[in-house]
Amino acid sequence: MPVITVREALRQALHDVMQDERVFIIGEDIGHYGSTYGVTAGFLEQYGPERIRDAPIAEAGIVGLAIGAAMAGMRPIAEIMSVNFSLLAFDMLFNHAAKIYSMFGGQMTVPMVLRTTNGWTQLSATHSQSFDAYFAHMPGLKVVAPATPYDMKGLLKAAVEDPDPVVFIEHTLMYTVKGEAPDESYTVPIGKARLAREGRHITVVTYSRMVHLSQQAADILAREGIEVEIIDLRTLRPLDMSLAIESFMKTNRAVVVTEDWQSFGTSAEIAARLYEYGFDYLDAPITRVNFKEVPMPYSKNLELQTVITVDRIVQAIRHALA
Amino acid sequence: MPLTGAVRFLRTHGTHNKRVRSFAIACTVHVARRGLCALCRNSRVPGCHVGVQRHNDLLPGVLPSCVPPVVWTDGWRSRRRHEGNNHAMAQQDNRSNDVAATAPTLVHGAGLDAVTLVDYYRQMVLIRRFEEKCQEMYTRARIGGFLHLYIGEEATGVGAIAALRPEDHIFTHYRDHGHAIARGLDINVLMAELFGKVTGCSKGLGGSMHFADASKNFWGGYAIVGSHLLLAVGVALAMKMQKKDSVVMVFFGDGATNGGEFYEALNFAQLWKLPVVFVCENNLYAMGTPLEVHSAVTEIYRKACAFDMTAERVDGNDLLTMREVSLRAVEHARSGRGPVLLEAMTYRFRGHSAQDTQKYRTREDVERHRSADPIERFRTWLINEGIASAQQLRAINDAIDDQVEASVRFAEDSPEPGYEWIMQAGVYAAPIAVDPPIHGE
Ligand SMILES: Cc1ncc(C[n+]2csc(CCOP(=O)(O)OP(=O)(O)O)c2C)c(N)n1
Ligand SMILES: [Mg+2]
Repeated sequence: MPVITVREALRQALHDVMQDERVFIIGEDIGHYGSTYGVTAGFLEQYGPERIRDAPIAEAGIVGLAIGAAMAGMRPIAEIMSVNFSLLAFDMLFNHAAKIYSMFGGQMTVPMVLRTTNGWTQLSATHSQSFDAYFAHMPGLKVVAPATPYDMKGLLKAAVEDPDPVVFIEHTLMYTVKGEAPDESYTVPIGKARLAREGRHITVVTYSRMVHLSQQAADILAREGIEVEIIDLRTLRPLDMSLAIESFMKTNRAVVVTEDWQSFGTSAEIAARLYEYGFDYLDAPITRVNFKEVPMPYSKNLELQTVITVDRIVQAIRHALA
Repeated sequence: MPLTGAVRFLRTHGTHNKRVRSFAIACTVHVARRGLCALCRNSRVPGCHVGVQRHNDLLPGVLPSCVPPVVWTDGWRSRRRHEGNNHAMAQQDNRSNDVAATAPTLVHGAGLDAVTLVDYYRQMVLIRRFEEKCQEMYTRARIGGFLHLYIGEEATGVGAIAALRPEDHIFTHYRDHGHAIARGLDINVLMAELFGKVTGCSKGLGGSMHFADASKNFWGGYAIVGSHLLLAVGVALAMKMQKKDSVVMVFFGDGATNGGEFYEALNFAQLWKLPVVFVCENNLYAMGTPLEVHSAVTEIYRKACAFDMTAERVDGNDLLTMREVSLRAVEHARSGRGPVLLEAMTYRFRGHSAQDTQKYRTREDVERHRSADPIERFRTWLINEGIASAQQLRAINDAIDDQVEASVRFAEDSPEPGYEWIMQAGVYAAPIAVDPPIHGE
């Protein structure tokens, strides 16, 4: 199987879905500028301005128009340059995209995808956030956050084909991550977790970029004979906890690693479900690894103490095993 | 130089010359003072119906001076008048009565037969009676939630929607009963929706603010002020991309024109020349906040200027004018020339919602507007023109009363949903089983 980057996987998926005439992409700087993270570079030249729509800086408008177009039979992919700017489109997403199917009694569907990206690299407080929990909180939305090129490609296609609104969360620090993905077209089902690494001593439940950091932590611990099992959730809503709970029943210990703040974050929900279903199998309290609870600082030194590092994951696993 | 000569001169010589421009402005201002517009010569209609765009075509860059003399003031000013006895304001207030009295000496010759005209009357009365019944049912606690009545604004919705074809699209706000009825939704399913029954147009999940019928391209009532404009523009984008010649009409209030989504919607629509007709129902209040208190510009249609968008202010209480202007706007949008903003001047006779104590206006304010009731105006006109007899119209009213009663019986007899109804009706078009299920489900 060819080894490609996450960026290439996304490009392949987008080229694939663009074969469907109903699909178009709308977002800021996706065309003339050449795409902020290079994902749609060259698309404007290939597909033209009708289908690669450079939009004004109007996030509510980008998402609102995508919703309306989806209701009327199109398959729009709205791109919000960075998740931080999606706040301006929350009304569209929560009050409309998430509600229209149900609130009008199933008369209309909103088959749109919102592609956006988490991430940080000395961009300070407003440009280094994660709103995964906000999106995943909302009935009516589907939320996916894949980790590997294979899943990026398959889940993006699945998201575009899905009749419901899907928030597709990428990560700025993951576009160059490599992995195997076949050339041909395929989908990965929304709402299915994945066993990312087998082990028998402890379960790490995680998703998105933290899967890769958890793998590195597991490699370090493997040298000491500690076998870590990693569950990659892939989808946050609907949340498939079956593999995680199964694993937890085997290892009796768990660490939840999510790249957002701990309070009321995604790790809280994941841990709560582990407790609910795995209470009788519990050998130790569940440990969580998250952002430190401060607005992200600019200084490199401070930033690295705020975000999750491989070392912090290793320590958390040791703590849970102690 | 006689004024018409001046205009002819301007048309041939253009307006790039500074002196010519200032002369043009002087002329238009002059005629405006005399109550005439040199450009459109539309002197008698209160509030020029020719619109900014046309003026712009004639004299690029020169603001039309015939834009309506500001007559649409009311509660806020008149209330201050009661307090402060301000003479100027009193004068303005009188003029607002004049406007009501002058219409409808209108362009009804537009090939409308008696059957169509009488049907417009029927639609307006149906909205009125349906909503009076809603109020009654609300008082008797058969209807819950918010209830925003359209009473007093019927001519705007009926007139505007009369300009649409079945393949055109409608978006509206939470004050949606009138638009739904004008679009031809069956009042049985509307009353059932208000009663929260499974037979409701939105299966009892939407309520008063969320009527919808996708089969009629009635995309629903939306309760987040101003936000649905963007969805409407999205449907218009889809129409353009699919090369259909359908138009999207979207209704909203004066209050909705202050939020960012309004400006985003106008910019997108004009930038991409999308077939949208924005219909602002200016009823002079956003809940209880008067127009002058909530908007820096009280002539809402002028907000379109920033986008170079065609815009018109129209007497929304005059059914035939409303229809006429809407037809023009719809055809403009359909022909690919881009969106239009219409500002329909109207007035709601009831409170903002059923809970409103209406401290912000006086009973006299409301009474004055009631004397220009759009339904009564149209009824009188139909009779005076010999289009229908008083007796015929009474018979229509009686039939509507029966129809409304029947809708209540339909709603009452419809089954009450059980909780499983939500899951059955669905949260997702493609539900995915959660494994294991969330505790408590
Ligand atoms: C975003 C938002 N803010 C506030 C409200 C509460 N609200 C509902 S209707 C309304 C007034 C709207 O006035 P206008 O747009 O003039 O419409 P009208 O009710 O007069 O038809 C307000 C403030 C809301 N529903 N949505
Ligand atoms: Mg209003």
